[in-house]
Amino acid sequence: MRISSSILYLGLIPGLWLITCTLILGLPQLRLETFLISPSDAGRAGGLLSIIISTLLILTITLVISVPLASATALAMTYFRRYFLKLSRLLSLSLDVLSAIPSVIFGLFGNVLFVEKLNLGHSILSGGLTLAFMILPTMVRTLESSYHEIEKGYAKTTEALGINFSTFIYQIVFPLGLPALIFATILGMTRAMAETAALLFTSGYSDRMPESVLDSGRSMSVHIYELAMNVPGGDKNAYLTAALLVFILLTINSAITYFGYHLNKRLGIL
Amino acid sequence: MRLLIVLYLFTFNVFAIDKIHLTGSSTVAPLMTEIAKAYELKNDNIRIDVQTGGSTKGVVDTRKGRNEIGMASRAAKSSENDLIFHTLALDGIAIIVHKDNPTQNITKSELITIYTGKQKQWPHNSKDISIIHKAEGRSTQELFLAYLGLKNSQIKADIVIGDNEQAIKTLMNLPNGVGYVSIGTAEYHESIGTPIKRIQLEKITASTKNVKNASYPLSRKLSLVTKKDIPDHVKHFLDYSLSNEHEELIKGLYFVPLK
Amino acid sequence: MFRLSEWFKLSPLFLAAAITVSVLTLIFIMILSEIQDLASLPAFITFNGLWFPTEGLFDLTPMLLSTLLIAVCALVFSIPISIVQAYWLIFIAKKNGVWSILVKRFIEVFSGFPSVVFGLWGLTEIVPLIAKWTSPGFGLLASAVVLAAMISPYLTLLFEANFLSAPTQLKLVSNSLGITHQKFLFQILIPYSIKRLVQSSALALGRGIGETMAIVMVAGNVVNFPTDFIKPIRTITGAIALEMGYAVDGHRSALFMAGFILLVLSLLIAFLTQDKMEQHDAN
Repeated sequence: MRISSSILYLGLIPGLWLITCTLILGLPQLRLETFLISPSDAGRAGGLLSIIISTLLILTITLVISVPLASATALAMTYFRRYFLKLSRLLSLSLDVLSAIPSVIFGLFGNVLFVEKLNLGHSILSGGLTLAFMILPTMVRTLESSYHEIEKGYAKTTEALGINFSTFIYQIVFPLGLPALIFATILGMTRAMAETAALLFTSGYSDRMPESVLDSGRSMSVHIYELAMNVPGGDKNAYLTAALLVFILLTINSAITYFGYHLNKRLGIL
Repeated sequence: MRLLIVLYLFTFNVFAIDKIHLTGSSTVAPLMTEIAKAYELKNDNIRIDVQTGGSTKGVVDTRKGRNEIGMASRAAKSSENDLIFHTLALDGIAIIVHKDNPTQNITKSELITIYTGKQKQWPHNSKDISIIHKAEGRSTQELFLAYLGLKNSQIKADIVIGDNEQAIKTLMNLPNGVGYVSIGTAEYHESIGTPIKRIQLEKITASTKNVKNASYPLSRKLSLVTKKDIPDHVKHFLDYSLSNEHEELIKGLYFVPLK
Repeated sequence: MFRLSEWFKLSPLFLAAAITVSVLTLIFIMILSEIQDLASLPAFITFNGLWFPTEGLFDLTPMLLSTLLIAVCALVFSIPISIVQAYWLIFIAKKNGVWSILVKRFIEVFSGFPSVVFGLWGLTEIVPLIAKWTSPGFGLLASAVVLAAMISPYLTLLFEANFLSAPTQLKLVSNSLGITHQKFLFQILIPYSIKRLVQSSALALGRGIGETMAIVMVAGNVVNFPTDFIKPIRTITGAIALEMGYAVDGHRSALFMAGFILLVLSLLIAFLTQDKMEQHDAN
C-alpha cells in the first residue's frame, strides 16, 4: 500500500509543480498596466491589452459560429435518434472521429480554407472560424446527451397531446436545454482558449491592437508560445500570460462545475 | 456580453483604411515594423501588417499577390527576376557561443568540422558541443550552408530552431552551444546583457563596421520585394522605407545602412 | 411520415447537421488539395532518416517513430499513476471528504490545462533539469515526461469512469471476503474492466500522438530516429508547427502529406476504439 500511495502523490507532483511555478513566476509581474497597454519590445515590456482583445475577438467569433451550429446539430440528432436510428449512429460516429482529429490538423485545414481559399488572410476571423469547427464535436456531444434526456422525459406526454415534433423540439427541448447550452458553450470556450496549434497558421502572430477582425491577432496561448520560444528574456511575461490564462480557465471551470451541478439536478440525474 | 458586441462592431471598420501586408524574413521584420510605425504616425488611414515567415515565403507571397511587399534577407535568385528586389540595408551572420565560452575565433574549416559532427568538443573542456541549426526554408540557414559549402543533409545538429531569437534563447541555456544568427540580433542581445557573444570568423569580428566595408565573409543584402507595377499607396510606403531617413533606425537595430 | 411543413420547419436543423458532418470531408478535401502528388507517398516512407524537404528528401519514418514512441512512453509513465489515482478516488478516499473533492477537482482542472503552459513548464523546468545531467536536455525523455504530466489527469478521469462502470457487487463481495485493496485491484478489478481500460488508453494515445505545442517546445526538433532517451527528436506535429510558416511549393506539400498521415493515424485509432466500444456494448 505504501507503494501505491507514493504513486498517488507522485502523480500530483507535476500538477502542483506547474501551478506553483506559473503563479510564483507569473503573478509578481502583474500590474495595472498589464490590462491598459499593449506589448512592446517583442513582449518583453508593456502589457497585454492587444493580446487580451485579440483573444476575446477570436473567442467571440468562435462562439457566434459554433453555438448555433452545435445546438441545431444536436437538436437534429435528437430527431434522428427517434426516427432514423441508423443515421444518428452515423452522425455520432462522425462526431467521435472529428473529435479525435489533432488540433494541428485543424490548423492546416483553416490555413487552406480560410486563409488561402477564402482569402481572409492571417486574421482573427480565420482563427475564430477554425476554432469554431474544432470545438464543434465536443459541444454537439455534450448538448446531444442532455437533449436526449429531455426528449425521453417528455416524449410520451407530447405524443399524447398530439404536438408536432418540430414544435416539441423548438418549444420544449430547446428551452429546457438552455442550461446544457450554457454548459456546452463554457466547455467549448475553455477548449478554444487553451488552443495554440490551430491558431499558429490561421490567426497569425501580430501582437498589435487589431483594428478589425480581418487583422492578424495574437491570442494569449500563442503569446505564451512566442515569448517562451522566440523571445530571449521573455520567460517572465510568458509566465504572467500563463498565470492569467490559468486564472481565467480556473474561473470558467468553477462555472462549469456550478452549471454542471445545476444541470444534473434539473435533469434529475443527481 | 453587450460590451463584447459593441467591441465587435467597433472593430469592424475595415473598409475605411488602406492596408499594406508585408510578409517574409524574420530578420527584416523588426526593421519594417519600426518603419511602419513611423509611417503610420504620419499617415492616418493606412495600416501596415508585418508578418514573419521566411524570405522564400515572402517572395512567393509577393508573386502570388498574398502580400503587397515581401521581405527577404538575401539577394534575388535567378528564378526570381519577375519581381523587383529593392535593397534596404546590409546584414551579416554572426557565429555565437555562450558568454562563458573562452573561444575567440573560429575558422571556416573548424566550423565545417563542428557542424558535420567531426569535432565533438571545444578545446577548453570535455563536454559535448551542442550544435544549434536552423530549420528548413530560412535564408540565414541557406547562406550559412552556402558559405560552408555544405548541404543541409551533411549537418549533424543537436537542436533545430526556427527564428533568430530562438537561437539566442536556446544558446543562453547551453554553455557548450554554438549557433549562428543575424549580426543585428546578436549585437542587440549582447547590448542588453543576454549571456551570449559573437566570435570572430577567420579573425574578422562580426560587426556592422566589417559588414559595411565588406571584409566580413558572411554577409547579405536585406531586400524588399515587389511586383513590377504596384498601386500608389504601396509605392509611397516603399519610397518612404527606402529613403535615407531611417539610418538611425537601421543602426539602432544593428543593421548596416547602404550609404 | 411527416407533412411537408414539418420537414420545412426542421430543415435548418438538417442543414446544420449536414454542415457538421461535412467538416470531416472538408478537412480531407482541403488537406489533399495542398498535396501536389499523392502517388509520391512511398517517397515519404523510405527508412533512410533523411528529411530535407528543400533538397527533395522526404523520409517521414524517423518522425513517425518518434511521435509514436513519445506517446507510448508517456502512456507507460502515466498508466500506473492514473490507475492508482482512479482507484484511490473511488475506493479509498472518503466520499465527499475535503481531500478527495480537492484532488478530484484538481485533476479535472488539470486535464483541461492549455498544452502551451505544459510546454512552457517543460522548457523552463524539465529541460534544464535533464540538461544538468546530460546536455542539451531536449529529447525523448523531456517530451515523454511533459506529455505524461499532460495526459495522466485525462487518463485518470477515463479510468475512473471505467472503474465506476464495474458492478458494485464486486467490491461488496471482495470486502466480505476480506480481500486486500491490492488483490482486489490487480486480480479482480483490472481483469474485469481490461477492455475499457485498453480503450481509454487508446484514446489517450491518440491525444498524445496529436499533441503539438507541449512537445515542440521540449523535443529539440532534430530529425533523428528515436534510438536514445536523451537525443533530440522531432515529431510530425513538431515538423508542421516549425516549418509550416516558412514552407512553399514542394516543401509545403510535404508538410501537408505529413499532416495527412497524422490525420489517417488518428482516425485509425478513433475507429479502432469505436469498434471496441460497440462490441463491448453488444456484450
